[in-house]
Amino acid sequence: MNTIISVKNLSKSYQQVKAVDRIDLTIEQGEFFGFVGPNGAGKTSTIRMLTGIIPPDQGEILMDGFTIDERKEIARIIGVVPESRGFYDWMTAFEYLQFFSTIYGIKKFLQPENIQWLLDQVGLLNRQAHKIGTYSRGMKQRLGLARALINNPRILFLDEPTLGLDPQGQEDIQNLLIEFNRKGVTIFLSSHLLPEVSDLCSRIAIIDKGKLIIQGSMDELRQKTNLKSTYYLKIKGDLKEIEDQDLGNQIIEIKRYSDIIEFLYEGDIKNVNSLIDRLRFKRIQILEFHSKSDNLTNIFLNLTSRQ
Amino acid sequence: MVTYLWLKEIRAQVYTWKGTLWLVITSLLFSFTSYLLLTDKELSLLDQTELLWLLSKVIISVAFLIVAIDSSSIINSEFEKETAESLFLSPISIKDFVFGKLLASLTLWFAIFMVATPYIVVTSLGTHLALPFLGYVLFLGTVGISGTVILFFGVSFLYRSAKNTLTTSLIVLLAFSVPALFSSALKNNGLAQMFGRINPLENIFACLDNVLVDYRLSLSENWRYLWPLFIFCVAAFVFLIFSLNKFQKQGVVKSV
Repeated sequence: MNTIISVKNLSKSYQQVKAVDRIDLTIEQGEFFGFVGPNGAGKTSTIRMLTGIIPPDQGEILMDGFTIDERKEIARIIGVVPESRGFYDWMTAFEYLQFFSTIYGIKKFLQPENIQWLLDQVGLLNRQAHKIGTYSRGMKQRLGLARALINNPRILFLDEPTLGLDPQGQEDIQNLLIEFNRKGVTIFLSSHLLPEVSDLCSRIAIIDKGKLIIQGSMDELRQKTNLKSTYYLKIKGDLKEIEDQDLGNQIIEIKRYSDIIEFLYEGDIKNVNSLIDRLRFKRIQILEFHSKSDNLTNIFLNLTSRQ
Repeated sequence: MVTYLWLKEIRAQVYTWKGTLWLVITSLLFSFTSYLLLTDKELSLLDQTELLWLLSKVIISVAFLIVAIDSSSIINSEFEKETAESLFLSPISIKDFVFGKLLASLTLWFAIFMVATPYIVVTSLGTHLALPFLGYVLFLGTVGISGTVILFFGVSFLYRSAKNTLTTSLIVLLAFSVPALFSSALKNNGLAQMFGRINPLENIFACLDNVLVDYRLSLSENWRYLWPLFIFCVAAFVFLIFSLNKFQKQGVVKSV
């Protein structure tokens, strides 16, 4: 794998506020990289510096071998869905994409087919002749993604791409991103939807107060944070059965509602499996079971609240 | 690249009716002025060349005002409507952006000039001044308006707010036009004379007076009014470079 984005010691301040504080990032070609952090953590500033919209105060950025001073060259290999969602409302979706196609130097005879394919991919083909001013927020979001893909980019930066979309729209966009990633497009995704990030991304970085706290795959994040696994179990039966399993010291919370018992269990997944087997053997009805701790939300909350 | 941006602006003017509305207003103003000049008892006593000079002042003033209002928003609308970020994420340079916008503003001036042309031709009948009138209005208007637009673009990049830029632009235009209201005694005051020499609007009016009333048609005879105009354009350009440097240091988006 080749490194496609390399960031060293990147910093940005707005007056006295340090928005991004000496962050280092390395992203490999074809990677689906997640970038998460609380509001005001420095995600958008980082993306804007990487895409050449704002200059960094210090640090080095290398994008597929180009330095940030080579803005025009970088613009040709990247596609961006920025945080700001400005559109020319008086244009139709087709005209809008045609305008950007022309700017990217796409030949006139190739434009209609390419634009219609993209509009079809984002589900706007039947609205291509309508003025953007008549579009809903979700439709504008889809159009923004189509614009970001117009130059067939090698790297795609997405700042909250599914914000304002209905669940179907979110799934459509996620599937489209997966498809482009399979074709080799490197994706840099910033999102507040942590399940979306953990589902899609092969590697994730968490930023807080401008500093990069942690980065790695989900497994690496779990290992690095050393979070104990917690499981939620809801059963119908007698608590005594549970206590008999010699698990008392591993149960961290119990709630009882007549014959329904909810509890949080902290321990190894093997022990949980063994517990479930034994409960089934004793014909205790398991109403609900899921992991509570080893997801990105828990890692995120644990790390950002500790800061 | 410049052409695409210029065409986009022209289409925006047409699609949003902004540009077309300006031309209708311009046409009405010129009709009203020409009608007054030709029918008003007192005005009709004036020498025809004096009438031509008055009409040229109206054309230039209206054009300056309309182009100033338009150029105050043409750049800032990209920032205020948040379209600038998408635009600068594509491979366009700041130079392309500024030239595209400058061409669009000048196109509005040329459209105003086209509207003014029949009024100039009709009011000049019998004086043999139609061609010099058209030529000098076009030349002086293009130079003066280019400088003014460049100056207001500089202000736009500093403020990034259409409202603040428009307020500043109107104050600057007011400062340019106030000396016209001065009495002759006040105009001979040292400070007023100095301001008059560097004031682009004052120089354009004086040059047109020299051409239309005093019949001094050659460029050499009008050079003393032309060089301050060029100096003004250069100064406006230097100011724009300063603003652009500041803009590039801050980035397309000021803060998050």
